[in-house]
Amino acid sequence: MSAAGTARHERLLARGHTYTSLSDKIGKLALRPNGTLWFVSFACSLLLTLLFAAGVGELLKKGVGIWGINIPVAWAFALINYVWWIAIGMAGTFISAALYLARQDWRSSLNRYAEAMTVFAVAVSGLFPIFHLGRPWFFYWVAFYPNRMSLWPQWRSSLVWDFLAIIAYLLVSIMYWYVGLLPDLATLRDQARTRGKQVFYGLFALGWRGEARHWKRLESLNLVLAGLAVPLVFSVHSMVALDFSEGTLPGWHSTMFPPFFVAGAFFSGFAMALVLGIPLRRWLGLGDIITPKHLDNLSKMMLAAGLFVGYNYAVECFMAFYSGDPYEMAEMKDRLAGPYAWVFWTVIACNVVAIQFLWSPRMRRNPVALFVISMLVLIGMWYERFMLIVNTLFRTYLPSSWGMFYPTLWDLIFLFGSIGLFLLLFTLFVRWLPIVAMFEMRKLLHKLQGAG
Amino acid sequence: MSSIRLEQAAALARRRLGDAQGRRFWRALEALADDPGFKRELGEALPQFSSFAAMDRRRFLQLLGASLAFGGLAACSRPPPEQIVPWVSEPSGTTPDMPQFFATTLAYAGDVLGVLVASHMGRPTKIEGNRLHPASLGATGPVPQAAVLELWDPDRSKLPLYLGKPTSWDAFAIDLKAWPASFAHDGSGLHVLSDRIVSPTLRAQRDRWLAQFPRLRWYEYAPVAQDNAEQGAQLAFGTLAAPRYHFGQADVIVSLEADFLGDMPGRVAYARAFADRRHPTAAGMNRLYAVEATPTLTGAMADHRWILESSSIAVFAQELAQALGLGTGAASGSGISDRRLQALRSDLLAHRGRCLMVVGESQPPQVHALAHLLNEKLGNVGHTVDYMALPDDSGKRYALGELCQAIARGEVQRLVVLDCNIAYHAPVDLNLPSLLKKVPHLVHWGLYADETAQLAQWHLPASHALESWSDAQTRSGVGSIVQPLIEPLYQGRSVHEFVAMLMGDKVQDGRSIVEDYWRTHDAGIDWTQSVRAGVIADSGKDVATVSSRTNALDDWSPQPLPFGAVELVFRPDPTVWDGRYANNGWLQELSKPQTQLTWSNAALVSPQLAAQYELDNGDVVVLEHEGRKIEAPVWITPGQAARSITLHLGYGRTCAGRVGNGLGFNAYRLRSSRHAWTAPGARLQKADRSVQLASTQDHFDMEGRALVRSVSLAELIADAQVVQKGDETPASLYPEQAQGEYAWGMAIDLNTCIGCKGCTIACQAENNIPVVGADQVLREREMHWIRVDRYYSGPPEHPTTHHQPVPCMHCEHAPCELVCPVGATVHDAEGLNVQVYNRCIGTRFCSNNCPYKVRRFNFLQFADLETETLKAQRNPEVSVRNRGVMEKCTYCIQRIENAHIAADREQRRIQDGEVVTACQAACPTQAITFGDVRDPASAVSRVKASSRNYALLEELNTRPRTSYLAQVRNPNPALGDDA
Amino acid sequence: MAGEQERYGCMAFFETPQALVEAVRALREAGYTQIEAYTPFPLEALDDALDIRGNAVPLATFVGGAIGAVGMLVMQYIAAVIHYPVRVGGRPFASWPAFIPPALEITFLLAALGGVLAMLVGNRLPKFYHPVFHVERFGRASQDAFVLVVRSERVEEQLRSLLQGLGAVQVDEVPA
Repeated sequence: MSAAGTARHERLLARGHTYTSLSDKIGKLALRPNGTLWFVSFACSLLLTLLFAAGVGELLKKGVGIWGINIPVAWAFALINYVWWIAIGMAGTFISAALYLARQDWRSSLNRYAEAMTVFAVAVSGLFPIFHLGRPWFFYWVAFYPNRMSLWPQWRSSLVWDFLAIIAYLLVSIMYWYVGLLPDLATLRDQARTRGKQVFYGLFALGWRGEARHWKRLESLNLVLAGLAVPLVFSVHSMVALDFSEGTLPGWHSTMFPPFFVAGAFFSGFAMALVLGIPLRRWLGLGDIITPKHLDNLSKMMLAAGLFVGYNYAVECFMAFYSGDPYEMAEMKDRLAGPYAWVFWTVIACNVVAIQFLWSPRMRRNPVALFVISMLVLIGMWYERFMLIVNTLFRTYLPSSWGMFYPTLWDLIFLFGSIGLFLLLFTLFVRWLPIVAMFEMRKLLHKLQGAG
Repeated sequence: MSSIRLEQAAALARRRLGDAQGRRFWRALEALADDPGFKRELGEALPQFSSFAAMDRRRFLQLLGASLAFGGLAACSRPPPEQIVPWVSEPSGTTPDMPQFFATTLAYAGDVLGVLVASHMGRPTKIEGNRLHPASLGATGPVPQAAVLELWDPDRSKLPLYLGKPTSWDAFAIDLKAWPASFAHDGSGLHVLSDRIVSPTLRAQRDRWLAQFPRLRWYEYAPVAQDNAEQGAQLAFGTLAAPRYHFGQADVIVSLEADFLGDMPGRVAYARAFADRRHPTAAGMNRLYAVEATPTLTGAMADHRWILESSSIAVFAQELAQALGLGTGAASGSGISDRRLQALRSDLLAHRGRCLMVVGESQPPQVHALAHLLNEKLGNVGHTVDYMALPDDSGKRYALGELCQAIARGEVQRLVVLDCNIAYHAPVDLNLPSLLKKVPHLVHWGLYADETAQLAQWHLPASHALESWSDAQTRSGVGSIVQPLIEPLYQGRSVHEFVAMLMGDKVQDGRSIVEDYWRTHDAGIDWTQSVRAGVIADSGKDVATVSSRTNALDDWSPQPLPFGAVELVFRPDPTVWDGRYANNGWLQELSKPQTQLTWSNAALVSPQLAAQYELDNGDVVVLEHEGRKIEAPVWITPGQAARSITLHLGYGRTCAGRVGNGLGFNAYRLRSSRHAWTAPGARLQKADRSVQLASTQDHFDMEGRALVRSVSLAELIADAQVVQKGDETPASLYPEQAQGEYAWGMAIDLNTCIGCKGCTIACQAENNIPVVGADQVLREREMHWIRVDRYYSGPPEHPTTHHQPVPCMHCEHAPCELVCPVGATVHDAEGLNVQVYNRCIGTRFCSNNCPYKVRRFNFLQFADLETETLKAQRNPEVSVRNRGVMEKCTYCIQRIENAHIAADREQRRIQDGEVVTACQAACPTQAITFGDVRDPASAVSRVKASSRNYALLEELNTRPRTSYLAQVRNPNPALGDDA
Repeated sequence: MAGEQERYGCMAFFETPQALVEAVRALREAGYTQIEAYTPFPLEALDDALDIRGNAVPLATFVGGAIGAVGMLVMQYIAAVIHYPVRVGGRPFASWPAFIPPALEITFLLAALGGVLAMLVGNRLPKFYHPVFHVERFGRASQDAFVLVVRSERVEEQLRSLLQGLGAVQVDEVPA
């Protein structure tokens, strides 16, 4: 192999891997018996999930009044969590789709768990718009379907747009994910030694055989889906932004919201990709597949997105005062120095200051530092949504109806419960499915060798 | 056994039982249990129910008894059998779905008001003013509106109690036979205590009883009465007389703590008369000077509000008298600047015969007397004020203090308490709770088994005003009949029936007693007409000629509040009054006009005092006066006199009921007979705890936004367009939409709105708005569809107060509609922004997007679907909302629809003024106008044509249908900036 | 070797992708047409070796998307203007700008759906039974083996030897 080949080889894939070793290594992760570590994480996330279930029970029994929401702050944690989760989903799609289109080889070792992250995050986020309703059992009234009263959704409402966006996004990412899984499921089917697993994976593999013409169709489908997924995620997060900017409220009614939200979504998405990836490569010994090069690339992406987000904060602040609109200015003054100013400064500390460390290459390749920074970013992005939603609603046009928002215990239960649900899904995924796309890795190996 | 089936069975049983009530009802039920016919019917009607029909009587009674106990009650909710007369102009051809209106009279909160009661198939559901009654002129106010809820209050006393055990009237009748033995034949030993008597019939009954038993003692006590006023008149004229004010005639009004818009008897009519003179024309507009210690509705309307400790106001009065050359001794040091005094003096002198001095009950008799003298000197008597002779009750009516002495002397064998909760509200120095224990036989008759009832052997339930025949007379002498709208829900009896029973009269039926009284005392009366019209023709017209005694006020030299001293000021609570309405959820949740507090009272302190003692809202302080202490949370109140602390009475009830118990603190604990209204020399000390007070508004500064626009009369005359400067509706991208037949709109005149919040309660009653409770108010989830915002301008020590009622604006470009994903809030052709409850899924985006925040959300199951009586109270034309649904002002769409139906039936257009919204109807000052804004001749169009008309937040281009008329102040030019 | 029984074809295993590709070329020169190549990952080189042309996936995607876009716009117009017009916020019934976002999302959804269906149908998936699975060692094809199947009902010794000559590490008969 040529030097160049070796060099790239080392960066994206540790030396000495063969098709066999790759298949065995990754396949084993799904097929080997459960480890204690896995059991612990499973138990913890299950516990949190049960808490979530309890919260839902109470909610259905009593109503959304169990939360701290009120008039004027009629939206709070539920919407914050929703936006936070759906944004986290974004990076997954971006990594696998956009980088695929951009022919970035380094995506191959990340896209599988990133896509899983997307699917689960979107699924979890989708629960909040339903449960936040006063009458959750009627959520489907937002959809269009033939009904006795011949009623339709109110097409002008961004909530309808967003509802369709979530549905589309969830289904498309599931399809994209599953289509990519087919060959690997087949691999697992063939690797499985017990009858049960053979049947289990066999069924989901749909009898994939890896015939050249099949590969051809799969590849073109992957290309097409990637081409669809990229604009889709942009549109989805624009819809999320429109949930707010369609409102007339100072702090919401702004044309820069869609790009702002998209950037924020990238930002938190990459952070979550790192938060999940770093422990994975450590605990599952994937250091040779998810190499420092990958961490480095991810954190570069995160830094870029973060800088754009910071830029947005600045522009928002500038525009508020430049507009000369007294209500906009009042809203911004409250953001900077009002009762919730601590939220804003937390956001700045996490989303603007913390990421500056990523300029240093050493930081970018230090898993612990990266993990900490990514966690901060996730927290910061949650607070950012708090800032955007609560700090706008609590003081609007009529001072007589100004008020404060104080979360209740149930608010917190829904937040941490949803995190539990996400982790539960993810632990199950880690346990039962190949967390790295095997056929993509083989393809990568082939490509590297071909280059060599 | 499924509850539905139980209900069906109960329904069947109910039909069989007919109108049986009370014991008869239970006997009939038992008979039914054995009746094979009924069981067969049951079996046929509900085959799945044969098991039930077959079951033994014990189980039968168990099961049906429960569901019928209330059911029987519901079954009896129908008009009483004897003939009651609908209101005079009650629309002809009423159908069961249309309410019928009956005129009656409410004696409430120290006042008397003629009202119309809407009765839906025999269920009184809503109170409107009676425009034929001079005290109402068609308007009401918060407290009368809430009478309906009081009627249906499930905590009302239902049965006679003996030593706390349920018993029967028959048992009491037997006990009654033993009475004469216990007191001498002349009646000594028998004592009766009642509230202030407003019923001529009761007065006559009393006199008859006194004639029968000369030594019987009858006492009257109410914690909030007109004692000082009466003594003042006595002092000034030497006779008992009550002033009748004619605010309509007055160009200049001086109020010395007289809250004639808030708590003075006759307030509703006074407010109308006052407001009629607020229309901003150079000649027409009156000028109001208010001198007071604590903010009142009257003070908020004043052109000059001069803040003075209550104790010092007497001094100011004296100074004024002196300035006007009334020789009643010199005085100085009130604290009102000479500049102000002179300006006021010349203003008064310039308006001889057209000015008016009014004094509040909280001032001592001498100040009242002084005002009478001044009015006389200024030639106002006969123009802006005249007098009515009060019946001479000397020797018939005794004071509470005398009762206490009698008890102490052990003379009181039997004490009959007629709905007067002395164990709770008597002056603390009289120490009544322990004295009452000394009374051998204590009998209590009242609406609730209250604190006093707890001490009594006998408690007997009173029937509610809407359940009984009676009569009432206003302070101005207008008499009117009280007729029942419904048979007593429980075993209550009216005061007349009860007294008649005590006296052993032949006639014990309320109607006969009242009718007999009037037929005998007023030969010419047309009984039917009086009942129908709700007022006794030309009563209250006779004027007493009084002449002042010049030496009335010799040897009176009032002293100002010593420097540094702090005074306590007692006031009736704006909503629960002296505590009698403590169990009324509507009134508890109605935020107090001056503090926006709900569900509690507070010690109102001035910003200065708060700064001095480092107090914050809700901090608890220990208040001490004459060695008595209470703990109370403070509420910092701009415009409060620096060194007075206002305590509202009526809280700290212990036996009020499920709603009213344990709220706030009991201010009576500091209130002594000597210091009934003002207690100088109080001490306060900060306790190291604080409580959360549920206020419906937290921010009182307009933040420089033109929300309530206020100009001075001079400015308005100088430039008629001053209010609308810079206003223009922004252009719209959207094409005009086809208009319907009508375009409903509303105008609210902030110049005449006195902020009494009658609209809020009227709306609550009309639209079945639930009560959410203190904790939910704390979470900012109150449900009122029309709220009254209050803003302050100017320095917190002496601010100007602005009221602003805010209902739904019914925007033509409604932001709420745009964002609803299911189209649950949409526009109708007549411009109403309608809310479709059935379709609403509760995203709450509409509320977020409403710039006026008038939308209300059922965060939890707020509407009480359990309590039977509350079901009966509701307006059947308005659906009850469940949890998870958004709601808001509908412009009383049900009333609009009724008008449509009526108009269609007669194939005509809806006439202007035919649709009257609940808030509009209740408003004492007619500040709210409603109608078709596309008809240029309609009242609302004419109002909106005013140059004071403006839209709230017009710059948002929401195109509101509700608009406001700017507030106009008329300060004395001579005072310039020194307002 | 059960020559008399029904056969699907002849399966050869190769070590490297290059070997497989060359084998395919050689066989096609030798006139074999019915060749199937099974690989553990997509191998571009096979496309021209087996000269695999384009497929229906992109077209199906486009059709799905077109249906989504047009259908959604038409439906919204009918719903909001013809079938059940309601006054909302003073906006015109046909609020075209507001109709675009729903149309956009549904376009994405149906386009993706179209593509996936085309792939599954084109690949005749799911298909849980297939002769090649009879061969024990075929399992490696999804991991590290490069497999070639030549369809032929009859045993052809020359084909066997040809394959071995091309470097097949193992040649099996695939029963039908």
